[in-house]
Amino acid sequence: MSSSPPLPAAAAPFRPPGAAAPRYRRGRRMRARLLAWSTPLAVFVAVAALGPALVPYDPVTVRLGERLKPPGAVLEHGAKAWLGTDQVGKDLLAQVLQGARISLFVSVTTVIAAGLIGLVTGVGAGYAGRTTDALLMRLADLQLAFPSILLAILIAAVLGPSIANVIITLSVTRWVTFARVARASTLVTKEREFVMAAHATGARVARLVGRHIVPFAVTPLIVVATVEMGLVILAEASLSFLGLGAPPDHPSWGLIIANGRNYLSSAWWISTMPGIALSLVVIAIGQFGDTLRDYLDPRTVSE
Amino acid sequence: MGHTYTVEGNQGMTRRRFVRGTLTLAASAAGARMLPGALAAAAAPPSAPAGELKVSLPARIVALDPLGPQAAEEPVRIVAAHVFDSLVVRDTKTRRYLPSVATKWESPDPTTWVFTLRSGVKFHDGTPLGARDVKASLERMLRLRGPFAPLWAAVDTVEAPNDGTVRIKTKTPLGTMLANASLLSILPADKMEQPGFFNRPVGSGPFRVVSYRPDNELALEANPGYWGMPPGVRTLRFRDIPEIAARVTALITGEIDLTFALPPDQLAALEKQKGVQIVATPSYRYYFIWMNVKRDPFTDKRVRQAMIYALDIDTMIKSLMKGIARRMTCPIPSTVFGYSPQRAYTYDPRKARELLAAGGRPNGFEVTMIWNPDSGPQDRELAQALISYWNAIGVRVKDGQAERPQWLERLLKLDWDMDLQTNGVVTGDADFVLRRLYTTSANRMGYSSARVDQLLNDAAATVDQNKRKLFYAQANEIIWDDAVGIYPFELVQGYAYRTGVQGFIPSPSFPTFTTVTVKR
Amino acid sequence: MSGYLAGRLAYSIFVLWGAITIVFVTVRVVPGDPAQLMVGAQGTRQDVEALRHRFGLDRPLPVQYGGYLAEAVRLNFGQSLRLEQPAVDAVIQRIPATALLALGAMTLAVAISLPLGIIAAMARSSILDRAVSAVSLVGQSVPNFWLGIMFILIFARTLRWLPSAGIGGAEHLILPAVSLALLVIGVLTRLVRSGLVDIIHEDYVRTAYAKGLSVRPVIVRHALPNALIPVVTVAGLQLGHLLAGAVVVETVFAWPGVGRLLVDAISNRDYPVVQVAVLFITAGFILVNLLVDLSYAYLDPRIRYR
Repeated sequence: MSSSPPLPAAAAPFRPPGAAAPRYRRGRRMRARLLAWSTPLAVFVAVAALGPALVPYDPVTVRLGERLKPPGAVLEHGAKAWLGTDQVGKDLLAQVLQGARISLFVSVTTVIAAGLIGLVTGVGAGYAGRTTDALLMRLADLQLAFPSILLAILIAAVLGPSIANVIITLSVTRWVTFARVARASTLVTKEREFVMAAHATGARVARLVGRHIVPFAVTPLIVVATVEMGLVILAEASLSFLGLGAPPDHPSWGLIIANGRNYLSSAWWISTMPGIALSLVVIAIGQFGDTLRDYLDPRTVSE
Repeated sequence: MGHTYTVEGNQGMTRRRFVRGTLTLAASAAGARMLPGALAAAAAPPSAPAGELKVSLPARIVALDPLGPQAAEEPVRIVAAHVFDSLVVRDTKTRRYLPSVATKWESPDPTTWVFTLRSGVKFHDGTPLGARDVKASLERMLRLRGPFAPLWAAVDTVEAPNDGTVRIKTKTPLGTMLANASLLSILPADKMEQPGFFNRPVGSGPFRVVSYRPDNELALEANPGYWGMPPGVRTLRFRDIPEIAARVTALITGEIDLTFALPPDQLAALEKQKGVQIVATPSYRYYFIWMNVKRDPFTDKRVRQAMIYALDIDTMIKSLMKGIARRMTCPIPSTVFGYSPQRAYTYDPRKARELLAAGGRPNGFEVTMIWNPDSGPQDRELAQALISYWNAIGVRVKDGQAERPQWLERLLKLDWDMDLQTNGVVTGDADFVLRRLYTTSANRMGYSSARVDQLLNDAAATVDQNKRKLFYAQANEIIWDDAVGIYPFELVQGYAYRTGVQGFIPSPSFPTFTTVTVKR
Repeated sequence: MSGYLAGRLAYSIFVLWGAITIVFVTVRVVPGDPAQLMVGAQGTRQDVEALRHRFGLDRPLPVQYGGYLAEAVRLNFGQSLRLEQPAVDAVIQRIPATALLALGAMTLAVAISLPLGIIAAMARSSILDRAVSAVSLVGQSVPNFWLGIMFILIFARTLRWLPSAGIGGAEHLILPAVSLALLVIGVLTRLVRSGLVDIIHEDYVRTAYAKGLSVRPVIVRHALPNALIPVVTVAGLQLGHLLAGAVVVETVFAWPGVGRLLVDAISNRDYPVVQVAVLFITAGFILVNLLVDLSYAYLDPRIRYR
């Protein structure tokens, strides 16, 4: 623990660095926080991986006699619909578990793809100088000019609705966020003394970029990535609302929520159950990202 | 045959017939089309239009041109019925055509029709309506090659020898002339080609256009110079609210007064809502599933029939389509001229499996069913249910949902195994569906029967409506027995409106609001 | 600086041209024929061909493209295939509605996120910080159409405080703008907070503090501008995602904007409208990006545009 007198956090949150400032410590508390927030994430991954095996999801069979049953209702063959049934009588719990898999897969794949594209483009643009920067950023402008909706519909038109197309659409429309943040970070880092010094001593570009610039770009990118994961799950829900998201036989959370939106005042569980799951997962991812950033940042002051 | 309308009372019908039928008082040759009750109603003087009616249509009003490429879209036709006139109008109850702008018509020989126009009809800007306007309107429709142009394919010439006479000559006899004429809106010849005309079009109908804010609202007001019965309300607004939850809310709060095409669960919930009432009426729309007769395994009639026996249509109606569908008993709905009831296919999965085996597919098979998400009410749920029933007899049907343009392209190229969609018999006449879709030359699902071709062509060329009925009865039987398609439901349209809205008379075709009055 | 701007202008025109060209080609390559769609299943092959001829779609692609560019330079962008009006009119009629919605949402978002983010950064790791975090997370974790419909059900149907749909007075703007803003508030608040928290430890802030300045001016004059760089970046980008969100919100609330028009036009292969809409959207983004980049130079004197 710190040697300086503990100050009430609200009164003087800014610790004067002139005083006995504690250097960063990966204290027990910080580790505990990281662990705490990685748990829901681990649960999510476990549920996505194992859930559908425990509660099998039958994409084909409908049970019209059991449609719109509320959570906890007992069905004909004795089973209990813990989360209720949907418009054609399918069990909602099975669908939510199945949807976890799809939403997880889509968001992780998209963010990795978009992040890599953005990192390369952004660092390249920030470092390489005026022409490349301008060119790459105009490419970004061009891509931004394509509203993701336009792209989604066009891709769906050519390839048909499928998971792969959702991933392609979303990574193509979301890499710019990563690129711009990477570029901004590069622009700042590039002007710093140690970089200029390294450049002056003739260090090779790749080494310079790899050792000095990329690490500084990665930290904000991780924060962006965790934010983006949540946004990707939500964006897929919007695409499903427009009918351009996951296909009906592999329903994502977004699709289930979108399909149930006419029933919010009656069979509210159809939209709300996957909605709650979605919110919890997005929040958990976001909090985990925050904690991870605090953990990774060498300048973080821990209490 | 009798269709059971659940329309409130019959005096509504009488009043409606009065509205149209009052014209026949002046015209002598129209024949006795009115009931005695209408004569009594005719004695009461109409009150001036008052009040405001706000309607939300289920689809956007895309354009206001009733003769152009959007002419078949329901919102365009609804607006056209209020803003424009046509030569004749169809009384959906009696299935007869009543005079409108034309007071009488005759057919001196099988390829000539002569319409006599009413005098004193004026467009909304005060200019008189004459035969040249009718001629110009028809010619515009033909020139633009809109969706109704094929109906007039037999037309040779259109003449307007004087202001009050229109003579149409056809190359071959056209039995559907009156049906077609009821779809032809009359526009002012001089103005219709001016740019921007359709931002505020001018017609001769009971309402005139006040303002048009696309995607938002179309405002109409009663036409003070209308030649016929004035409408019941002074202002008619069409508000665009696509999202179901918002539209239902707007109805409950009173932001709109009337809407329709709501999903059955939401419709049922509104029945219990205070201040809102529901009226249901059979419509011209129906669901059907085609099987590509040219593709394996649907080349075998037994396999096609098996697909029908596998379906529990009554359960689907009870659970998924409650209040919005009835079991269909013919390839065309019971509301349509030419309907004849057929023997029902029962729900019999065992028989379905037997037929599959007899057809050489004892282990089932795999196919894809295409459909598009704008098909009709509950289409998503329906597709899932159908696939589930077929799965139960060993037929694995893949969900081939596609965006409308792709779906249409595949449909017309016959690049599909099965197709799920709705259709509307726009003219209320069997010809519109049967001859267009089920002849060999139409080639819409690969079905070919020389006998059916003969029957349908004969029916189109005959002007004797009773003969036509017989032809269609025979054709229906063949199509039904050959299991060319599956005809599970004819759709019933539920209209939800606030108490205070009175005089609304639903019809199997699209709704009109000229007889509506609003009491607040 | 003027050299920089001139360069930007040149590139902007290039971008506009690029966007138009890509859209032009893509919509025509994608399956689905607008003429066939309009004629529907009722028409004959000849009807479709006649309509295609009327729209000029039967000409070879390069000819269509050349013709389009020639007209575009004269600011004639063609007639909408479906809407019976010039494509430009269709878009221009609807831009004010979308602009109003976007501006309303953005203003709301910034007005709320800035103070929230500052509070959170300054009160770091306290309960206040966590509370702000939680609130902003809620907005970021709920699908906006679900939220929109819930708002309608609560505020319009049950409470009857606000109208359920459509455009009109200020009361019509509230629910759609809030639905659209909530996502952005979440993102921006966290970014303001994280950006500030980082910067507070930067050398120049320490220096300023060492000079004896008190905390708040240090934050505002030195820390905030730099923290704002990623914020401004993301805010500029959010405008792009705002459009995607606007499409959904416009549909839920029956808001007559460009988003709905674009989706309908694409679904119906209304090429001229799609092209003009993309043109306007591209121009809007270019403008926003230019402002964002210019603000970098203002916010961080270390970034120079030679």
